[in-house]
Amino acid sequence: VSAVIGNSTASAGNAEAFLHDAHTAVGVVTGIAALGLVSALSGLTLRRRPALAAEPAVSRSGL
Amino acid sequence: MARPLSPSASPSPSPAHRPEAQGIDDASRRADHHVTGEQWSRRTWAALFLLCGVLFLDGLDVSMVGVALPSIREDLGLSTAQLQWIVSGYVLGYGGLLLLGGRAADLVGRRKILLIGLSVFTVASLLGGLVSDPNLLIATRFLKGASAAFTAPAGLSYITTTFAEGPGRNRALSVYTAFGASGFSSGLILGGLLTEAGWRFTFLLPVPFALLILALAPRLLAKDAPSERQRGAFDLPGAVTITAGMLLFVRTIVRAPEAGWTSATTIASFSIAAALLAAFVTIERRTRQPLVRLGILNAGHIKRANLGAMAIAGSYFGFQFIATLYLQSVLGWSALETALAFLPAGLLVAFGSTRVGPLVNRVGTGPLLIASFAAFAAGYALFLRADTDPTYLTMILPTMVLIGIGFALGFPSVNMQGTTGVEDHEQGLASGLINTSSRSAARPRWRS
Repeated sequence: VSAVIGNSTASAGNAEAFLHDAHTAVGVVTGIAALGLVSALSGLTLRRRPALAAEPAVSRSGL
Repeated sequence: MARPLSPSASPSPSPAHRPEAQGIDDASRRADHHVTGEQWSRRTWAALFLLCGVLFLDGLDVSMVGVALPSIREDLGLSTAQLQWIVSGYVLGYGGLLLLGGRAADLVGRRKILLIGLSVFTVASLLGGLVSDPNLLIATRFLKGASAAFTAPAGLSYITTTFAEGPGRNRALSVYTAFGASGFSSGLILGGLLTEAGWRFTFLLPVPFALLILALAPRLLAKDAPSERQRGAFDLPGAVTITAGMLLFVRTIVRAPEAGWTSATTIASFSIAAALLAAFVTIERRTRQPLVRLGILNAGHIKRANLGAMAIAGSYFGFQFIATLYLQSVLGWSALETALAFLPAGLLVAFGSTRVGPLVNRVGTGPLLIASFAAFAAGYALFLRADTDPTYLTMILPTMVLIGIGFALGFPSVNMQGTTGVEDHEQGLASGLINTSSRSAARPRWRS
């Protein structure tokens, strides 16, 4: 993540150029948050259980 | 005299069979040695605060030194590359050794690893505040990162093996994560203030607090109970390959912006690191006593917790990097003014995280993570309006508030979810994984 943002902002020489790159970089972090939202939604859809206590314990057997 | 707070070494009963009767810590500790319920004695609270203190110092140290970097460069005459290594040295030690640190807590003992790690942290902090040689300073930063790689999973797994799964553990983890986030936020402001007096104080400040924790820990934290491990079955090949692979992987990422992401050096380093990590996976699949049981990631909720931790840390620290540059380079704010701009988010995290435990008890971590990521996405999207003449009240403040809400809800939730349903003898591993997910996605950068 920081590599993408670092590359995006590294060439910034003035305020306008920086802002252009910063908007791209903020778009990237917004996308990452949106992916997190999708992951959380998928968990809720799969489980449909209100409490964590209902989550299965991790199996000790096998890989 | 009441017994010190002790983690359980016995396998946890399945959550479905775990009674959540109310009780008072030592008196209510059942045969499996877990603390149950949410009514705890002073000693239990003191032990929890002690563990919180270790995490607080870790967060404080990371952000304080970040603020002090320009002053360090000016005083010691460091090159940009040397200055970058003040940050990267810490990242290398932390990222490279975190998985090993988590497993070491399971195998060697959580209290022992915590105390050894904190001792190294104290010595490295003291040396960092005294030395003037750039290479020695970088070495102390590596040592601090390495020590945090052992104390962070040891502290988290100490809590998860001490408090029974359910409301008590959720409350304990809420408090614990609030301290970690508060340490980071406080460090931004304290770093700005201390740097005015001299950058060395940013290294020295944690020393007396770490010494105090070291003095109190033997009284408050019980000795490690015998673990379930089979003596003489230590997975040395696994330990060597994972440590070498992770160290090389982190080092390559740290150096890639300078060397070039597509340069031969970077590609060769990534290839060797990938080969070492592949060898590690092969070893773990074949050995009878693996250092890291890969099957732990088969559980869907643990997989999602680690993905969530990566998304939270990766997006937040990336945003912080952009926002700091924006506020200082475009708007011309000082380091202290920038830290104060982040303060609303820090306050929300510090006070909001402690309320997350009861919320998790009512609705589970799933809905809270959804709310967290929705708040993060909205906050970041709001920052897309950034220009050369922003309005604090309508652009910067709402962004910080939304991000604070997202962090307060999400950070404790992924820690709870990532350690739920895991047996006690693998809590260090689960804690190491969740920490690795957070930190690998959040490599701090400094830009001259």
